[in-house]
Amino acid sequence: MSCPSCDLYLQYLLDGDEAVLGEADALAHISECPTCRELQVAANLLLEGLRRFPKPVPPPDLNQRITAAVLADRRHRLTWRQRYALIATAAAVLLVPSLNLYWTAQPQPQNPIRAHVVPEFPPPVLVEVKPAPEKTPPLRPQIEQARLGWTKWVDRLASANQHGRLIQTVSLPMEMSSVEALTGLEPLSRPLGHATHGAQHLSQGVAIGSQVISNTTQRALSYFSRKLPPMSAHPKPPL
Amino acid sequence: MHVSDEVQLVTRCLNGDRAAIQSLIERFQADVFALCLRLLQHRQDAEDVSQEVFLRVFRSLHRWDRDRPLKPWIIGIAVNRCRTWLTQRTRRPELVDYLQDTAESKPEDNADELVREIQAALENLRPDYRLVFVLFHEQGLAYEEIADQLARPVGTIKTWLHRARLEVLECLRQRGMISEVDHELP
Repeated sequence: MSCPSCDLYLQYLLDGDEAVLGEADALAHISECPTCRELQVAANLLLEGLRRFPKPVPPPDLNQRITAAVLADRRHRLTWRQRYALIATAAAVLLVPSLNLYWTAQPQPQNPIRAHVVPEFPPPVLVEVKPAPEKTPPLRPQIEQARLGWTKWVDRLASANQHGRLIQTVSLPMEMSSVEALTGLEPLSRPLGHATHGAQHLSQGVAIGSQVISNTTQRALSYFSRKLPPMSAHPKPPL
Repeated sequence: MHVSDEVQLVTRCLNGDRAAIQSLIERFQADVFALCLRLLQHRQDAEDVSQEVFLRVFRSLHRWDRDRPLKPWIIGIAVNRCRTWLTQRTRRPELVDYLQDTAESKPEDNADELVREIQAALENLRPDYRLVFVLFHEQGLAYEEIADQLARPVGTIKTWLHRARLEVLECLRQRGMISEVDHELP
């Protein structure tokens, strides 16, 4: 056996590999090579020292201190989580009508002038008459209720749309005649003048405020999505 | 401790069970503190870092892979915290652990002296070598676990440990421990 092989043997010995302890070749080489013999003595010494190596003992109150710190940290994080949830809820409550008002208040002409375009139809093609499809089954009551709820919601949106359009229309610096034409209001005896500036500033404020709220909500929701534990963290139901 | 017991303990901790939290800290605090003390070589720092380690453990406990044992994961967090602490400490003035120095008792026999010499040799090792030496010989982690924690190949870990041992042995030889203690040990 060579000295590098003996060095490897000693490394296995320090690894605690019991299989190499009685390797005859290595022992024979060690008995002949003074350098490797010295290394083996040192390795045995190191093993003996490591067996006696005292493990540092933590102070007796460390457990209590760490536990208190962990519990305080949990409480602190829980409090902030609740605050974030409250802020996010409030922001969402404010955001929905604001966004609705902002989006529906975009100027839309009541009677848009469209060019009269004659559609070009493709030449008629003979199509085989297929049998009429089977009658679809009636909707379930739940779906019918959902449809009715959606219709009510659309009605509410339309109502809000009218309010928003009125504010937006008044706030726009345009001729009063066109305002009257759009809103159907009776003609005013005197021009509005500076009164329209306030409404314009109001609508701009609402737009800016809704943007800030939407950004805050987005940040809060992304924070929560990051902090939520993965699905695997939840305990599995007992079989 | 079986992995299933650890899963149960961690689940209770995640549910906010105070007794489970205390039990988990008690189970691993000795290992964490020993590692921190060996790496930082300062008792007060080791206590502070141990506390930080457990704070981070409980903050990210839901990310622990339940198919793996808990100890290497916690030790990995401790290693990272110690490395960060060491990096920050190099920017601060050198700290001297007077309490640790004064608390050390005088050697009673050659075996205690051997232990002291090994400790001194460890303190002079390069941080990476010392880390691998402590993780292998004191924490009892396998090569693969150490490589996993340090994000290094297993071959690198073996090389570092080999060099660390050679440096410790050389230090013992230079201090005259080999010829003195050899004949007295069984």
